[in-house]
Amino acid sequence: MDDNDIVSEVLGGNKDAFALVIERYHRRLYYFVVGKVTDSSEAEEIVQKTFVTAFFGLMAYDLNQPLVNWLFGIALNHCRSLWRSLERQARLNQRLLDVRRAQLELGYLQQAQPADDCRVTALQECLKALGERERRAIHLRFVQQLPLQAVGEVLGKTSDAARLFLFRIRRSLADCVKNRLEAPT
Amino acid sequence: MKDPKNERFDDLVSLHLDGHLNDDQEAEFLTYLEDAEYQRAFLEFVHTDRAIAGLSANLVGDKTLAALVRQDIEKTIAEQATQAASIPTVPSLLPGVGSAGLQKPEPPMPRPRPSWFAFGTSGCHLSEVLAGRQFWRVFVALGVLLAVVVVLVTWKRGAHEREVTTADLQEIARLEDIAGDVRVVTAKGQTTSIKSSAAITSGDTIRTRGAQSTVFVVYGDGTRLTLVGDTDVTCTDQGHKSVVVHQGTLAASVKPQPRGKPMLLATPAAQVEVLGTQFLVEALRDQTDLSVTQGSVRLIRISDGKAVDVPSGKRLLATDRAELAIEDIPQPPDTWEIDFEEGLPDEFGSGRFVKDGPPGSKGAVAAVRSDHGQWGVLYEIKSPSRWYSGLFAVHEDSHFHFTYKMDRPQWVNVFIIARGPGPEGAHSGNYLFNELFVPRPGETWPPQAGRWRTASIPFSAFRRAGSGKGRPLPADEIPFLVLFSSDEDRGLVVDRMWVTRGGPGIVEVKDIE
Repeated sequence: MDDNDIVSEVLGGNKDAFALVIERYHRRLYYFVVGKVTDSSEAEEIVQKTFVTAFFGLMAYDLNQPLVNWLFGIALNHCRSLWRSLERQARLNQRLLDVRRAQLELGYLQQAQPADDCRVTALQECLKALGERERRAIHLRFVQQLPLQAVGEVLGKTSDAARLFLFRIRRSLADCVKNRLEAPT
Repeated sequence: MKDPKNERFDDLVSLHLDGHLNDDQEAEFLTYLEDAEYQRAFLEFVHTDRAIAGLSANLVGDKTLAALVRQDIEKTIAEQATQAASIPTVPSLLPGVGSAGLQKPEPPMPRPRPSWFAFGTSGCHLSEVLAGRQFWRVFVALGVLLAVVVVLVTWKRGAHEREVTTADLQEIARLEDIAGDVRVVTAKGQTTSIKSSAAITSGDTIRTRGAQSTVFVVYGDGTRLTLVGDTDVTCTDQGHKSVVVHQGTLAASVKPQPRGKPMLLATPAAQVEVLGTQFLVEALRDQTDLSVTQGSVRLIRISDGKAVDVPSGKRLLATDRAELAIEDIPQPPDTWEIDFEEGLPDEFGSGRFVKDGPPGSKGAVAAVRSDHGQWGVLYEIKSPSRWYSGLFAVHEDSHFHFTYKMDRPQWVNVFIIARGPGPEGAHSGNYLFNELFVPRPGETWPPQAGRWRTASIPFSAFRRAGSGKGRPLPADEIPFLVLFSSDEDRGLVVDRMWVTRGGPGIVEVKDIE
C-alpha cells in the first residue's frame, strides 16, 4: 500500500489506516526533528504534534507531493513555533544567551528544507569511525547518561578533563557530519 | 596550529552545553555569537550534539506513539465539543443526559476533515477494540451533534458569532498548593506553566503531568478539587459549576450547591451530578471509577443514560458494557511485592530493566536519570503510581524491604509517597528514609561496592519531608508510590521490593552471601 492509498483510505472512512502513516514515518520524522529542538523529549513531542496536525489537515494534503515531505513541513512549523515561544520566554526572563540562541535557531529553520533529514544518517556513519575509547566515552555520557564526574572516574580523568575529552569527540563528530553533508553525492 | 580564539570558543561552547557558563563567560560567548562564522559553527555543533543525544534516547514505539496521537485527537475533539457546550443554552454537558431533558439529535454536520478514527488492533482482544470503537463513535458523534444543536440555537437567537464575554473572563476559581508540572491551557490554546497561586477563568483546561504533580482548584464557595498525576480537566461556570475530566484522577469536596444547579462532572464514560459531597474519580477513556466518601452522588452512564445513586462508602465502576454494580470501596492490601524477574511491571514509573540480581534472580531494575528542571537531575527508581487505589496499607507492624546493590555506595533517599484517605486530606505527603548508609554497629564504612543486600525498614522509621516535617506515616494514609532517588548516579540496582506485616522492628541491612 503506498502513501496515497493510505491517505485515500483514511479520507474514505478507514481511519485505522492512519496508524500506518505513524508506523511508516515516526522514526524518520524523529530523526529529522531531533537536531532542531532542545532535546530528545521535545523532539518526540513535536513528532506527536506533527501527526495530530497531519490528521486534522489531511484534506489539505496534495496527493502529488511526497507525504514525508509534507510531514517534514508540518514538523518544521512546529519547531519554529517552539523556538519562537522559547525566545519569548527567554526575553521575559532576560536570558540574553537563550534569546540569541533562539534567534539563531529560527534563522536556521527559515533556511531548512523539508528534505534535509540526512544528519542522523551521516552521524551514524561518523560514530562507526570512532575509536574504542571515544565510543565508550560517548556511550557513558549519552546512553548511560552518567554525570561528567562519573565519566571521568571510568575513564581515569578528572571531571574537567572528561568534559574536554568529550567535547573534542563531539567536535570531531560535528566536523565529520558537516563534511559528509557537504560532500558531493 | 589551532587559532587560540577558536580554542576559547570551543571551551565556551562546551561549558554552555553542559550548563556551566558563568555570567562573564556568557557575556564573552555572546560576543562570539555576533560573528556569522561562529554562529554557523555553533549551530553545526549543537545540531549534531543533539542528534547524538537523540540517537541514544529510548524512542517510544510506534504503537505507543499511535496511542498518544489518538489520545490528543480525542482530546481536541472533546475540547471542541466542550467549548460549544459551555454556551449557556444547554445546562447538561453532554446531550441526552442530565437535567435538561433529551435534545433531539440533528444530523451530523459534515466537516472537511476526519472526525474520528481508531488505531490498529494488535495486542488487544478484537471484541474490546470493536466495543471501544463503537463507544468512541457514539461519544464523538454526540459531541459533534451537541455542537450542531448549540450552533443552531445560537444562530436562531441572532448571534452569528460567539464572542468572548466578560463572564468568560471572570475568575471562577483559584489554583492553590501547586506541586510539580501544572499547566493551564486557555480556551484560545495559550499554555501557561503554573508555579504559584493563580486564577482560572471559564473554559480553562488544567493539566497536571507526573505522578507527584498536584494542584487544588478552589472555588469561591469552598468547593475544592484536587488534581493528581496525569490529569486534564476543563472547568466552566455559567451559573453552575461544570468540570470535564478528559483523563486522570481527581478528588472532590463539593460544598452544597444552589437548588437546581448541581455541579456537573463529565468523564468520557459517565456524567456525575453533585449537590454537596466528597468523592474520588478516576477517568480513563472507556471507564470511570467513582468512590464516594461522604454524601451521595448520582452517576449517569453516557452510553445508555442509565443512572445510579452511589452512597457514602461505596464505589461504582462505570464502563459501557458491564452492569452498574455498587460495591464497597476496596481497601489496599496489607502486603505487596514487586519482583523484576520477567521485566518491569506495567506502568512502572522510572527505571531500566537489567539482567542482574543476587544468585537465583534473573532480573532487576536500575536507577535512571531524570531531569527535574529547576531541581536538577536525579537518578531514580519509581514504582507504578496508584493514587486512586493505593499500593498497600500501613499498620503499626508493617515493614518495607528491598534487595539492592550499589556500585558507588552513598546516600540514597527512599520515599514512600502517601495520600490522605479522602478528598479533604487528599494532598500527598512524602515520607523519607535516608539513613540507609549511616554505619551501624559492626559495619565498615563505606559499604562494599556491588554487594547485594536486603534492607528491612519499619514504616515508623519513615519521616515526613517538607511541610509537617518529621512526623511518621499515619496508619490512615494510603501509600501510592515508592521512590528511590539520589542526586548522583550511585549505580543503584533493586532486585525486589516488598511490604510485610511483621518484621524486625528496627532498621536492618543484611548482606546476601
